[in-house]
Amino acid sequence: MTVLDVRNLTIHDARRRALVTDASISAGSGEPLVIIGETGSGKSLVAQAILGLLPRGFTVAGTVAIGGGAPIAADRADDLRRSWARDIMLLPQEPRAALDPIMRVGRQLAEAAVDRSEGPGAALMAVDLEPSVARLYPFSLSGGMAQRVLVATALVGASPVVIADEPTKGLDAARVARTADLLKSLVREGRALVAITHDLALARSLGGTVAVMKDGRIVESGPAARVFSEPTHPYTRAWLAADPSTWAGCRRCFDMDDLVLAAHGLRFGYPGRPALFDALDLHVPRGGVMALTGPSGCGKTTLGNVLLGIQAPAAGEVTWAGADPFRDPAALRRLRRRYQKLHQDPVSVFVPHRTVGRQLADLGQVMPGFDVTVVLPPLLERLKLAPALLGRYPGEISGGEAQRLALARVLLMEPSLIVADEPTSRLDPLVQKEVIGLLRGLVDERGMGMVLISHDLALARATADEVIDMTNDRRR
Amino acid sequence: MSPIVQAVSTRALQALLTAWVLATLCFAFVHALPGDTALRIAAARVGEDRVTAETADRIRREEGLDRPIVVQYGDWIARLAVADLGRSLVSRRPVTDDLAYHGRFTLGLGAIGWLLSYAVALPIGVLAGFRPEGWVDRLSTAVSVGIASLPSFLVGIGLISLFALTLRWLPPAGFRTGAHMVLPAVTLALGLAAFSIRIIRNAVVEVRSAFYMTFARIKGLGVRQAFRSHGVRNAAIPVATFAALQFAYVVDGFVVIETLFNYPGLGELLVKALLARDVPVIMGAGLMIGLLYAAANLIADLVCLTLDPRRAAQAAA
Repeated sequence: MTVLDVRNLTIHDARRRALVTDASISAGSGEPLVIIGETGSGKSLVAQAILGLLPRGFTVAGTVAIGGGAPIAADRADDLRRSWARDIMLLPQEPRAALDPIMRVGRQLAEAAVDRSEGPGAALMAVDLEPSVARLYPFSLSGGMAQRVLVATALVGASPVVIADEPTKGLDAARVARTADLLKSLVREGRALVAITHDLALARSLGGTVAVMKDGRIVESGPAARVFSEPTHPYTRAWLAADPSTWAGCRRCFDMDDLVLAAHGLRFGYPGRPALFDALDLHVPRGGVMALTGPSGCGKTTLGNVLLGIQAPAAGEVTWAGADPFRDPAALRRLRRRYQKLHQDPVSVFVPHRTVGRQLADLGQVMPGFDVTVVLPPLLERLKLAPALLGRYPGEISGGEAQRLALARVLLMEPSLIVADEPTSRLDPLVQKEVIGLLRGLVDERGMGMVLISHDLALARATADEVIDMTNDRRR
Repeated sequence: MSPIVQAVSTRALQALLTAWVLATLCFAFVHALPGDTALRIAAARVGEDRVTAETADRIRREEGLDRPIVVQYGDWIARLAVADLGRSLVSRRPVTDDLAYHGRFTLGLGAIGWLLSYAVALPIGVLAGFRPEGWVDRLSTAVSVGIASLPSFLVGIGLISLFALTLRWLPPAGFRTGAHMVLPAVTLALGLAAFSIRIIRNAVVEVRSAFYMTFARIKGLGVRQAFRSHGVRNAAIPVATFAALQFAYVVDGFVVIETLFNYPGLGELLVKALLARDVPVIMGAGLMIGLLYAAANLIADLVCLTLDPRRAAQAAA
């Protein structure tokens, strides 16, 4: 039975720009519908329109029928909101922000329950949480637990439609799989699940119907199995090809006498907790890429900082081109700028109120003899960056451009080694493929070394010559 | 140990330390004042025109003002430890009696003014917070800014000239009847509400825009129901903290209002003592105000601990 039927949804923002054009979707009880698209494709706006939660000033046309009721004009936000809880439920992007921080989980669950006589225990157990979680306050829940609590909230309610907005944002591979299982439990309960995501792994795992969105239009839709095996639209094909698990691997052998970085017997741990890593050895040759992977909190970033000489290890030694930055201050001063970090959030490495071009020129202050007018133009060309970008402020550039500008800044320092900490986790898959291809090419051309930190094992495998999985420090 | 007990004991210890630091500072400042203390006391006791060098010398000997300063300080701290604040140099009454007498007036009027201010500020602040940029919000902002930017004695003079002198509804000054309390309490309440309305309004706006409020609606709660069960307590945390601190401010910032309305509170006691250089009273009053601050802080902390489980968890960790 169709419980959600959206017809000809068109959304304009306050400046009359079309953000969603003529989108139609429908979902039936016990079926997943996955709306997949990149950042800015308009997929989240579709969810907001269905819920009557579009920002002020937006105009919307089309109809929404929920729970088998009569179609409601999409611009009647108040009428749409009447279906909240009764017909439709949201699993929001930031699960913890959806919970009142100072009310116990159990009471918040009870508020959504249709059958108030039943305690929260059963619903919590249905999402693999201990019934005692009901006594906790949201601030002591992890992000994953909070998400489970929200799924339990949907389970105790009666809404036949559940919208999950980016349920796997920022999660590592293992957690994506667990979240997919969790969402499937809603489908098994007979709910229609509408998942809004940019995550191919989640879409594949949920199955059901897939609608691919690009620039506000649904360019392709159909059964997941068909869309993923025989995509018809060129965009879908390009996107599927951008999935790292389909890339050709590129492992090569190197001259292990020419190392830009070596580490022996590294150990690091926070007091009172087991060591994050112990007796860890690694070698990065000139032109080589080493990947560190593992779930959040396993110590990837900490290890990266140790390798960069920023954080001292509890034991072991780091060698930069033959010198130990922790024991040889002269070498540290001399080599400091050759060992650079590329950050996860590229915008944050630039100060906000100064143009990007001036910030790149500022490097002259730390590097004698540096002339930005000589070195920058060929570098911009290599990174496929338009010189006009230099006149912009950091807030005015797209994520992919920002990451390439951040890379330009690092490259201007002529590094021997770059530690790239989740450099693409905020980027869409097509942009990710481009940035990773660029990084890989630059490592070859410049004879640098690179340490790639990523929670995405497929990406690590597809990019690196050697992978250290820090889950249990097994080399793959 | 429960977080509450822990917070109380930590704060009590801090209050003791504060008391000692305050006592020392009071002592240091009073003794650093230029001029002859004994001469001023003599003037206060026998009258400006009958003071002679002999009277001053006698007072210096009697009150021990001729002893080395370290001895005077040690003596004062030692007596402080047994809650003996000494006697007023002017009236010769025990300082503790003076403080208890005047403190009662200040705390009484302070409590009334403070309660009155929240009786006004809470409904207005909540209304303004429910309709940011609406007329209640704009009007209350304008009036608050106006009152906050006027010194309290001007507000007081305005009220006196309107209600006491022109309309003759209320007595302009003094403290004999309840009617005497109205104008100083209103003056005080207006000054306090000018700030607390904004705090309440902002707390309500912030809570209402929090995503858990939207989510509570999506879960099926009505607007009022969502605000009752999720909004009130969350908004109460910053408001309660501010209210407790404002109560401390009442005691301290009262000097002007008490003087204006000729009201016999701590502020008036302090001003008179300062003019007469009545060292024990100055130090006693300074100490008491400091301790009231510490107590208000303690109450603010306890309120937060009961309202906010995050704080309780932090305190326990």
